Amino acid sequence: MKRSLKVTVITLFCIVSIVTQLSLSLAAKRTLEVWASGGKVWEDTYQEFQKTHPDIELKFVPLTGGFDERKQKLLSAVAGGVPPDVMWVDRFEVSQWAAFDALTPLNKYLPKYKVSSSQYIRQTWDEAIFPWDNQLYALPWQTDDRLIFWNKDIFKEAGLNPDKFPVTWEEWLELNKKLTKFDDKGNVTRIGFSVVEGLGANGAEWALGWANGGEYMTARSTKVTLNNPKLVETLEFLVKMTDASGGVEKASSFQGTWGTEVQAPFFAGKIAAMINGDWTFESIARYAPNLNFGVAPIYRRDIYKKEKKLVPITFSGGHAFAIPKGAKNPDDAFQFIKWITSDGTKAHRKASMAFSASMNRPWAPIIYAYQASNKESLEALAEQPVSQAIKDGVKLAHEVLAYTRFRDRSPAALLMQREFLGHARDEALYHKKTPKQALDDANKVIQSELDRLIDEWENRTGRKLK
Amino acid sequence: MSRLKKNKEEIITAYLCVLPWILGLSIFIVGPIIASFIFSFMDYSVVLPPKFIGLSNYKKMFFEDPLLWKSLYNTLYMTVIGVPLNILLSLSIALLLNQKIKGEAFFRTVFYLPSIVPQVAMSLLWMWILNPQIGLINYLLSLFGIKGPMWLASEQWAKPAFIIMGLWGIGGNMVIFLAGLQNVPQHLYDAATVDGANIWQRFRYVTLPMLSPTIFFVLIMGIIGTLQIFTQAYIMTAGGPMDSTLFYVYHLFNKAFRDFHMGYASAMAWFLFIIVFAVTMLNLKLSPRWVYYETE
Repeated sequence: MKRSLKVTVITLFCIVSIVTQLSLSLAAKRTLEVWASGGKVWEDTYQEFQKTHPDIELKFVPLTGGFDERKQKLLSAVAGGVPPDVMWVDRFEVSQWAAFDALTPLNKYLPKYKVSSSQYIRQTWDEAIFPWDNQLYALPWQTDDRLIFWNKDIFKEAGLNPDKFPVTWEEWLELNKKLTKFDDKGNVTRIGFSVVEGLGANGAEWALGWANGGEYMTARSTKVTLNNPKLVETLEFLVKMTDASGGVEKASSFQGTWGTEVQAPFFAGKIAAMINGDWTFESIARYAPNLNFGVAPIYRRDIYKKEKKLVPITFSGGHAFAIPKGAKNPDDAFQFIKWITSDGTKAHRKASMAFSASMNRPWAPIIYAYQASNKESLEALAEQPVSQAIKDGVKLAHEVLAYTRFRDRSPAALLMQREFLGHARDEALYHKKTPKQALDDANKVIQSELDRLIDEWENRTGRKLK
Repeated sequence: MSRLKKNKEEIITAYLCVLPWILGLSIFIVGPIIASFIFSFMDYSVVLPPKFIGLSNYKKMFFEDPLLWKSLYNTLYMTVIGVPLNILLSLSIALLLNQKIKGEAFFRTVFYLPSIVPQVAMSLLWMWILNPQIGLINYLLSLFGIKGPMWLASEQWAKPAFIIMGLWGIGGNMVIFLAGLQNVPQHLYDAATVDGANIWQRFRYVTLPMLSPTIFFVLIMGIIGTLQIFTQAYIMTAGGPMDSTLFYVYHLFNKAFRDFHMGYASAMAWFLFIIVFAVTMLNLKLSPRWVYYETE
């Protein structure tokens, strides 16, 4: 008797508390769960959202860990049917998520919330469109691009014109040979001109392929064209460049001796020139404010050869915000991603400037996908105590965006990256295969995976791509 | 009657006590094992519903994926060369440290210490040690007039570099061997000495047979562990240069978590299981020829 009383009391207590919890949460504000980057700047930005949207309660979960780890977390949440309302994605992976039906198409929300593609940098918007169904799957947040950076002091010392960077690839090779230095044991002590990712450059391979008139895939990303003659020629050039700076083995052991921050190879004079991202300006301002450097765009080689005209080309990546399939609250989620990619970028800039000031660091802007915000960034930069060279450089980085391109959107994008930069390029750099052979082989591997993905997608959606 | 009831109650209590473990085992270990077996016959990209495709994954694995064989070769290379070296060195050091010498505890600690360094920290540290230009190893070699290889930057030397790095962490095995050595009864040595056995003979005919179960254990664990090698390659070389450190599990990881090709990765996992199982069975089969159990 006594025992059953106890059980009854406990059961009653449980029921009451569950009911209270439920009714409390029903009465509360609409909550929005966001999985994105953390840190002070972001938290301040989210608070600004909270201020302007008091009826939505933001539940923010910072994504920790590396690139792979973040993706696995999102993947298991989506697969498990408990996705967040909003998630932060690498833009070049949007197509992979979309092909797996993991994201909500955004097209129907655009007119409702008055969002137009013209507000964003065209390429960043396009990169969030999945080419197989032409639907938009994310709103672009930020982007970047690549330029040539060179150390003017080293140029002067070598008797070169420090104010002008040569345009043709033949001149680049000469320059690299001239500026690469070895010690008496044959170790590399300075790379003349780095155009290989991981050996001082970033994103150069993609940009140079386009500069040469090459295409990595067909327009709708159904055929891989990695082995077209233009890209083969580009890879041949990369091999020549690497051989000129001691060969890949010596160059990578030299790379192992590099430091970071103040000791970064470009600041320490270990790289005379490189193709690298616009974030380099912020690093220069912070770690090498007195560096005597020059910046120039990469130019289209094919056009220059034919018409002697200088047309810039560069490579952009970046991030975006998306709404996973099965998100409980897609309308609020869209309001959030609209805000965070537009007005929110202003709040983000303000927060990042305040943060830099509090840390006593110089500030230089990142590039947002939202056009209006970038104008303000440049105005804010003009007031900053950084060198004119940095201000001019950042301006140039914004200007060449009009010519930028992004990696081909496809569910096999990651495999393409791995096969192109991880395998084919290395096989050529290590002289294991000719560039042609290496790209032929990689092309086959990617195409076979792509065909599988196309089949899967066609069967599921009942649509035809070919 | 009441005794029976009490028994029943005890049985229930016992089951309740092990229930958390049984639940954990079945939900987190047995469940996924069965699931992975089923997925290995499916096209499964996690987010989309899985689709049955028969033996396609296995067919693709065996006939259309050259990287699979390359990664298997790399892994077996590490096993065939790395594991015996590891045993040889840890046994030698255990023998040395089993002597009654001054500072015995100190030396044991020193040799054991590296094996408590986490894999990630160890990998980062060794990237410096192995650097061909400024690394310790090539500096030491240069003292003898040897020009050291390019280690992690070289297709031929990257795997040996990993093996050398692995030898730094022999402390775990050394401790196991030390424990095994303590168990060799002194009277056997005494008897051997009386019979006129020299130090080599005492080692060969007393220590080695008595230690053979320990060696066997270390061998099996070493093989299984090395067949699953992953962290070093993930952190230090990303599988390069030229796939020379693309180990089996790393390839599997790429397929599963980078390409979302879970069905294929499951098939790979089962193939690895069969290899591990076969190797272990072979070892067990061969063991009576050289492993001596005192109880026999």
